[in-house]
Amino acid sequence: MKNVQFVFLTLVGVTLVTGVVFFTLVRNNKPMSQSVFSAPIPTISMVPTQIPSYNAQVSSMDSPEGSKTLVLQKIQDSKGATYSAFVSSKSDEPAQQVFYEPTFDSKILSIPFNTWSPDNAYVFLKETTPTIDNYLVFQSSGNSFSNDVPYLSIQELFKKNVPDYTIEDITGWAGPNLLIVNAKLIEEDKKVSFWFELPSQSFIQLGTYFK
Amino acid sequence: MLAQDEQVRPVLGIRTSRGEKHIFVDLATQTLSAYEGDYLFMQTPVSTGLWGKTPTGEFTIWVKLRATRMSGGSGADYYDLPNVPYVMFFSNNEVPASTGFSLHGTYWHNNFGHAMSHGCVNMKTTDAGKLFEWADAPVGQKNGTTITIYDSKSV
Repeated sequence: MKNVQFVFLTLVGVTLVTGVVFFTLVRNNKPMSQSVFSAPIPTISMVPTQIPSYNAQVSSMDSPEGSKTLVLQKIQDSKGATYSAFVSSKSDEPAQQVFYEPTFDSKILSIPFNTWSPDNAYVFLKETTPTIDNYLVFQSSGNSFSNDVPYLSIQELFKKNVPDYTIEDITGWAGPNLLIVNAKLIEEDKKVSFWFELPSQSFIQLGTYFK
Repeated sequence: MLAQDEQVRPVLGIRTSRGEKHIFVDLATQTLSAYEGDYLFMQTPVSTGLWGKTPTGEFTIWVKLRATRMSGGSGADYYDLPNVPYVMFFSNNEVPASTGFSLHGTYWHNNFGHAMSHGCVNMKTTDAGKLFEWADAPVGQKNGTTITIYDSKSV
């Protein structure tokens, strides 16, 4: 009988001790919502980081059948503008850079509507300055022309080869290798069209004027 | 009455029909504009007749061909072009179908915005593809899409 009492009292004692320990643990784990914001919030002084300001503009033109795209990116900062031109493809080929040039003057580059040659081998960009417009022809593969020339400057070639005329406009492509150059006589108001043939880099005077 | 109902019936909150389709080609500006009612579907540079005259007036599309061969001219002007894409032949009472005028894609030159053709309306191939899908050929008693060719400088 004494043994039964001993066991009963032991069980009661163990239960009480367990209860006290459990209560203490639960109380200690309660969220201390009141003390979270009791400490003063430290003041953080913000030092602004100077981010260089620049303005990026992107223009593009698809090739005639839509398989490739010429992208011209202009990044303007306080020093001037940097132009990059890329050719991207609908296939998985990586984009090919065809042009990169920082400019520090008032030169503006743009993509004409007819920039792509019909076979997608060449593209041309228009370079506008306050005094004269120039036209730069690139291989869309990104490869240089012979003698490591990255692009052909049509104004330079025209002045050298056809000194009596000035270029009025380059409108587009008459064929895969033929760029249409509209020009006029310096001395008179006579207008003439030329083909600029890429492989020979020569100008061919035409009987038809391409208005 | 049914046509009127169809014009204003919204599907999922979007009006599906905007009105009659009409294509305008201005020879002076070498520009094509395609409208569906007042909605401008497309405006793009084109090349019309340089070696041959593009007819003016109001026409309708009489057949659409995904691609066809075109040949003509003579001597130095002879041309023979296989697989001309997205061809939309047009005609009217004065310019019959047999004359072969059309709007079509162009793979042999890229000089749009300037006269460059033997009389057809040359378009950038991607533009011609979009117009080809949009424009209608005749179905039953219904005519194909109307095309008006004009010269804004002489109007």
